[in-house]
Amino acid sequence: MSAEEIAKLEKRLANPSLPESFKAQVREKLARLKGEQAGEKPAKPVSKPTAKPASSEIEQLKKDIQDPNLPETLKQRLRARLAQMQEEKPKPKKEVKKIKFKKPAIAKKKPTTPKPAVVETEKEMRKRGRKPKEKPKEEEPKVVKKRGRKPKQTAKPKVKKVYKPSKPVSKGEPDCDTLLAQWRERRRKAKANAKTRKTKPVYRKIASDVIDAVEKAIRNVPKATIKESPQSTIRKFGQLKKSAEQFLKAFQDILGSDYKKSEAETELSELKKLIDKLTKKYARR
Amino acid sequence: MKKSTLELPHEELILEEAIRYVELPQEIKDDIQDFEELKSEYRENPSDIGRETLIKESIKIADTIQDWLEQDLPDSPDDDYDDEKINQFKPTWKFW
Repeated sequence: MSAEEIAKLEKRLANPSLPESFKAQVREKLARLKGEQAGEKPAKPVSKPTAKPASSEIEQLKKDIQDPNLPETLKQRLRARLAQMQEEKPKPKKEVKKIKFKKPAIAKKKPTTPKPAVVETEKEMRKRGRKPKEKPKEEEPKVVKKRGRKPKQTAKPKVKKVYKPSKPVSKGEPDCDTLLAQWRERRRKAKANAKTRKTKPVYRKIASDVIDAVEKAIRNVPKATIKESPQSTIRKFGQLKKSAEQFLKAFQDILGSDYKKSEAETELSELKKLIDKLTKKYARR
Repeated sequence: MKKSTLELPHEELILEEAIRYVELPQEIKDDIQDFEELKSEYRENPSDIGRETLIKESIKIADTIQDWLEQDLPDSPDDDYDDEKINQFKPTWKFW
């Protein structure tokens, strides 16, 4: 197919009667076909040369039309083309006149002086049989409540409690300062008599320590164990007290005259009180 | 209200005489316990009245402690004992 076309195009090129412009187009087509036939990629269509100025093309067309060698049919086509080209010729731009719009003239109004309003007094109104108009109440300016969070309330100051002594203060007692002064006087005297002061007996020191040890041991026993078996635990406490008594009596041989039964009894009486208290609480129910 | 430090005579006395709490008789121990309760009340809500009552109570306790100390007790046996011992173990014999 392409070979036939190529041959056809070559024939056209050989024809001397054809115009040069036509032959240029034919040559381009021929070259493209030959390239395709050779297996080459079709060359990118060459960008058309920038359009020739219309005036030069028109002149060429006029020359071709005047050429006597060209057949009449072709000349007719060329004439039609020429006519078309001439029509397409750009017309010279017409200058557009700017139209200015005038502002419509507005007749100025004269400032009219407001007529003084005729205010009827209440008396006149009553005379005419009308009810006097009630005076409009002065509206209080509305307080516009702002939306959003309320302003924080200021923290109330803490009111300090006043100390009230649980023990009633007896009236007629001497002042605190006088009492303090008296006490200082007594203390001063006691210090002055320090050399002649009696000291604590050894036995009392020992007894207080022993009794304290027993008391601590008793108080260390948890409530639960006493509740579980109250009688047996209290019996044990009693035994401990007895042994403490015996232990204190044993000092008699060593201390001799220092030993005083009454002191031992007073110290032991506290222990006895504690045991009695416990027996009342747990054993006798 | 006075801002001076609380002066409690019975506490001063105990410190001066180096008295152990255990040694004190039960009555005084009870009084001290009551006093401590009063003291804690005062610490929570201090006031002039509270301060005065505290000091008065403290003076009372101090008086009882002083009475207890000044009971008719024998002379200090420790000092006598030491003197006697020293005299007793003095060498009375001579090597020469």
